[in-house]
Amino acid sequence: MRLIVALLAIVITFTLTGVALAGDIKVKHAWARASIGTERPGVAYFMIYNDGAESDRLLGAKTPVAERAMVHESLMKNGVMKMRPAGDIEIAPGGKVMLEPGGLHLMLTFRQKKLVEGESFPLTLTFEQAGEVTVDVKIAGMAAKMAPNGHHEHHENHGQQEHHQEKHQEHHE
Amino acid sequence: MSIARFAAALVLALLLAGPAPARAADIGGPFTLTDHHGNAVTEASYPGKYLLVFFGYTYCPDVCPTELLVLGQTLDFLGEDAARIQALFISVDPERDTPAALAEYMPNFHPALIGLTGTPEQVAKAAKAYRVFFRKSPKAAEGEAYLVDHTSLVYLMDPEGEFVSHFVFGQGGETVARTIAKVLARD
Repeated sequence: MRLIVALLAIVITFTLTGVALAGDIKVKHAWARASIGTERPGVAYFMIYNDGAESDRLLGAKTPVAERAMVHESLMKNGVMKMRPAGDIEIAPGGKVMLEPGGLHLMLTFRQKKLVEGESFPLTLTFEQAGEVTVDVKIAGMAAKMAPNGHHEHHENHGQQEHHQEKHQEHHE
Repeated sequence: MSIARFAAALVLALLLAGPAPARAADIGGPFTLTDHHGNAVTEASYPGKYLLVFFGYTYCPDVCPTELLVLGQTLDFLGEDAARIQALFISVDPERDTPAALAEYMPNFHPALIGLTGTPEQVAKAAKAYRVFFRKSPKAAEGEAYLVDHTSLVYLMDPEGEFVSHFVFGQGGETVARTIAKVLARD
């Protein structure tokens, strides 16, 4: 009985904090933008933390709302923005990878379902080491720039800032 | 003044002036397009207003919604000054972005934003005037909606149609609004 209570407490804790865990990999603040219909590509963002001592790789993603879920990267060169498949994403030991507007993002195509603000959908990410991690993706407005619960970890945002600066410099050349 | 200080001042002056992607006189020009209400418009349809011009497309999942959000925030930060600005989103995807498609899309970002589209020739002419590059990118899978590579700069044009400044992707609405407010204050 005690064990059940303890397990239940753990489950509730993770549900409340919105953190999905599989071993050393944590996926946080998963959100998507609302969509018009199903024809346009959808987009989802999340943060992956690797607390382990080994590097891990995100190999794929699946969700019931779309037949295809693929990590893409928006890259700017000379002011021109291109989106290209990003391939497998490596998460260094002790490191993190942020999927956020203007950079890495999960593109959802062949969508089965309209994405409605306020709703959510499951997303299962497959990692080379950690295996499958399922998260609940909260749907924000179409013009959103961060997760609907306001979890925009700005203080942890330095990596992305530098990334943006690099892009700007590229343009200035 | 030491050389180092002079150099620092020079760098600062250059930064404040902003980078010019091409000669200022080269950016902008006449266009004939249709707005998301179905009205035929030209560059002269917004008399007395500064134009804030961004090219994109409604099937763009990541960058365009992010930049349209910035444009909306820019107008909000400008407050009363926003009445002197008309923000325009010009589609580089006339095939799918009909005025009706834009009418469904634009109000999600800001009520004052206007979406423009046209025939492929009209859109190509507008893009050429603004030195905007766009091209369909290779599809990842057969049957998948195509994406479009496109210049993602925002152009500020004065009421006479002259290029004033541009903003790069990643600059926030408050930063863009501050720059515009300075330009408006000089006028």
